[in-house]
Amino acid sequence: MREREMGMGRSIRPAGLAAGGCGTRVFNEEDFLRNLGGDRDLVRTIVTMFLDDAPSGMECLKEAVDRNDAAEMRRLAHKMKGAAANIRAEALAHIEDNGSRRDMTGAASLFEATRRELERFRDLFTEKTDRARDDERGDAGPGNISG
Amino acid sequence: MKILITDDDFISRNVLHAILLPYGRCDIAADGQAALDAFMLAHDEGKPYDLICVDVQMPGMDGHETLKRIRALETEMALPEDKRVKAIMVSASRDVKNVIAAKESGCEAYLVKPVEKERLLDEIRELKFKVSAIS
Repeated sequence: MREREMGMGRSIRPAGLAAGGCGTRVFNEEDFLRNLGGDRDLVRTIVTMFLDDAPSGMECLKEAVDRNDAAEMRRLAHKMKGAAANIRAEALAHIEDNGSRRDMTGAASLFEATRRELERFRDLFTEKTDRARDDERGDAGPGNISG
Repeated sequence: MKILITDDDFISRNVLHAILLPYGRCDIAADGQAALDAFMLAHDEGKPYDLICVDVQMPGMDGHETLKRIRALETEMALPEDKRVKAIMVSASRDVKNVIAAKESGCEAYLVKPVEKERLLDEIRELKFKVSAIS
């Protein structure tokens, strides 16, 4: 079960726009959709795979931080950056730019930033998916049901 | 076109696979050794790859080393230049040292993630492959 920041207030910003601003979005769905030839199901499938895999990736990242293993931490962060970039989780993909270094300085904050961005991405994707599902139900709503 | 996609990250593999599948047969390797095995198997079968897309940063044998070994195998096989697999390196890193190392390991192109479909197809066209969707 995924973690949730229960009871914590969240800052308000336009949906999909990352905290860092500068046009970086939490999820650039349009771009990803266009890159996959407009296949919305494929977008959902690949993002779901990413989110399913993310907890184990975060666990490995946490272990590397706890072990003070800077090389492994950088490798895992780089891997997550690549995957995040490919699915247009832009804010998540951008994190390593501020955290890539040869020692463990800032490792805990890098981990925390990654965890936070991952959660924001998950929340936004879930919200979009739920909304799309509702729309699909709406399209096939009572007015369209015969009998 | 026969393509080998090599990336240790399965999301990146799947995205590349989704982009390239309409344009050719795509096989997937999850690490450098698997890529070398697939490369040799394809030659043994007489159906070598036309294109390999390889991630730079992989645990164990990285993309640079993988491609160097592929080029060494091609040299051993005395393959002429036009029979050698075309290679596109893919990385999340814009580090110029990585780009230089990629060139030295024998790649024809270097793309920074996220992989843009049109950019990738343009690179493939540059390599003189005909890029048309398989019906």
